[in-house]
Amino acid sequence: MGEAESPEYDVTDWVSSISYSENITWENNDDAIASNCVLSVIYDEDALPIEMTEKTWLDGTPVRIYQGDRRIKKELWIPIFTGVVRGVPSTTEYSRSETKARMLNVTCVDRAEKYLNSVVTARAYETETDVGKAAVETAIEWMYLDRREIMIGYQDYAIAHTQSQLVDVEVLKGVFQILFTVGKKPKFNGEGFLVAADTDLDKPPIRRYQNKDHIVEIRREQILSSVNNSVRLLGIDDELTAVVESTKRLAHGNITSGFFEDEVRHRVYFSENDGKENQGRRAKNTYLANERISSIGAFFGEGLRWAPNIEDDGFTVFWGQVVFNTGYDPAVRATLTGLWAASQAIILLGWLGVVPDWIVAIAQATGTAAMIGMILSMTEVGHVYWEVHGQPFQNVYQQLCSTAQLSGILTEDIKEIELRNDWLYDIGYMRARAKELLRRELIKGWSYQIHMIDDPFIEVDDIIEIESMKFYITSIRKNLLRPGDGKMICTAWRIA
Amino acid sequence: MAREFSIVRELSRRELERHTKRFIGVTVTKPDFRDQNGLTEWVCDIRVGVKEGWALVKNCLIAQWAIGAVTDMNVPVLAERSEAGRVTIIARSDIQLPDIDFVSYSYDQLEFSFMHNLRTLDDGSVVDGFGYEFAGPSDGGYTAPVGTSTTHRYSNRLIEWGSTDFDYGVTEFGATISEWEEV
Repeated sequence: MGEAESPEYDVTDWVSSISYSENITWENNDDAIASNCVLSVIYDEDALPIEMTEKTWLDGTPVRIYQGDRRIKKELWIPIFTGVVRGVPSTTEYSRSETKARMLNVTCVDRAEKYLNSVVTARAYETETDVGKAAVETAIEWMYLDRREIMIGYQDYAIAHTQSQLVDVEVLKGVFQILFTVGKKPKFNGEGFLVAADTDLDKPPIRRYQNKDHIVEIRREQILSSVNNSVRLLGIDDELTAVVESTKRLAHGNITSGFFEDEVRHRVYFSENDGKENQGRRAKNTYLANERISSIGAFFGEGLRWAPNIEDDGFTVFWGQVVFNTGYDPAVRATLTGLWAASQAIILLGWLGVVPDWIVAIAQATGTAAMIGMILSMTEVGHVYWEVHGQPFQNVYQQLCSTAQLSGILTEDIKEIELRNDWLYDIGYMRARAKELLRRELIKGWSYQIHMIDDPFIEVDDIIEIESMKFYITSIRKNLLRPGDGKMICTAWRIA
Repeated sequence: MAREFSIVRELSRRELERHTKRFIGVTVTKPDFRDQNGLTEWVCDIRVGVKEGWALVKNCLIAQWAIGAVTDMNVPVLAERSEAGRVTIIARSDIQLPDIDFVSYSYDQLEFSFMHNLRTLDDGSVVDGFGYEFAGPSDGGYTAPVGTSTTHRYSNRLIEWGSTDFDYGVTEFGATISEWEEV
């Protein structure tokens, strides 16, 4: 800004009057347009350097208004408005009444207009990013502003969440959400720069009037609604909180085993993410329950146990092993096999006459017994039903809530406003912010209208001090005439 | 009487829905009753959580807003008061506190002393615009008259000039004197 890319035209001589209005933004609504003005322009097709018709005051045409006095140089005039023409100007095409100068009425709004309906999903900002940096980068990347058009610096408030992102939000509203964390709000100032207007009620006043010489009238305004006396501020914790469910069955199954193995290890995951050990459902305090062992053999099923795989935190379990000891010793089978083989060998030797018959008889009996033992051990096949119980839990980013309320309010008299900002994460910080926001709500019941001598340096969100009272400016209206009347009407909240 | 549950805050309801549907008992300790104009309010400490993680919520304001029901004001829990007066509060998860913070401020603490509707008389007493005496200007927005614990009814009647046969102050409107009557 400051240097227009297209030619600039000074049309001061054709503008007969300007009705200027500047309002507070982002206050209990989403109004982002700070200022607008209506220009009365003399219709002149032959004007130089450009004609003064509806063809030159096109929708979107950039307009900048300077306030000054012809007795001083124009370079010293103060830019009080930078914006664009909105819509189509009105003009009288024909009238039977006495001829007056044909006029154009042109309405202009500030630059915020362009960004009201621009919904974006912006880039994610990583932890430790200052919100000022996030606001500036958002403005550059999604409002397509030049860095020189943005007068926002570091705000000394770093993002703590792993990632923070504006998702599906109007871009200017998103910047407002970012700056809300530090009690500021975006607006385009008179020069067209994007600034972070400070809403601090304790900031120093821009003007301090020792007497009422500059003041025409101060009038307290009627308020037709009750004032909020409680502020509930919501944020999101940046640290995960475990939300633990009641103990329930996490997994169950069957194991069929027998003589062919002595121990069964069965991996159990609490979700279907098998193979991804540290993902999926998690639990704590897991244990085995309701195991039932059924088998034919009396020695089957010596033990069933649960071996959870506990993570480093000492309680999280994603998976574990059901370990089933069948009670079967492989040495038994080897022994029986060996006995049978030995008995067969002795029987063979008996046929050859090498060993006496009574030894062969013993060998036959031993072989038969070994065979029966083998057959019996092969019937040792059983079935185990198992269940693993535990407390599933989820790690969530918990909502934080800080309420600031005027004391001594009866329950039925509480009038609360709820404000939410997911970029807030520290409950202590939120407490201070909630207090500030409560102060801000309370002063809305102390609205004043101040008629005073025009001062182009005073803007909305400024604080002025008149004798012992302080006011926070919420709107400014003035008519810039030629010659001017030199007055402006402010509305303001009394803050002291 | 049927059991009544209620939540004042929509937020509380949302917070509950965010968590799993499980009820966890909460105990209320040290009730400090405040009786203002017929409404029973009390401040107490509430323990929220499961065995593994109790957390203490200090200074929770609980208000009885309907017969048989106690509605928690600041904690995302359901609360019920039995006819016998026992308070039961039920939460639906072990929300780890202090995620909820509640602070009340007086006008003076907010540096808005000009907002008081009270004024101090020469004798040091603090009165409101109607002339009723208050405990002091530091009690914030609304402060119950000194010593009141009952419902009051406003009446308007002619009484003798300067009479003091009533408790809560006098406002003069010409010959008519209005007063608050204890009922």
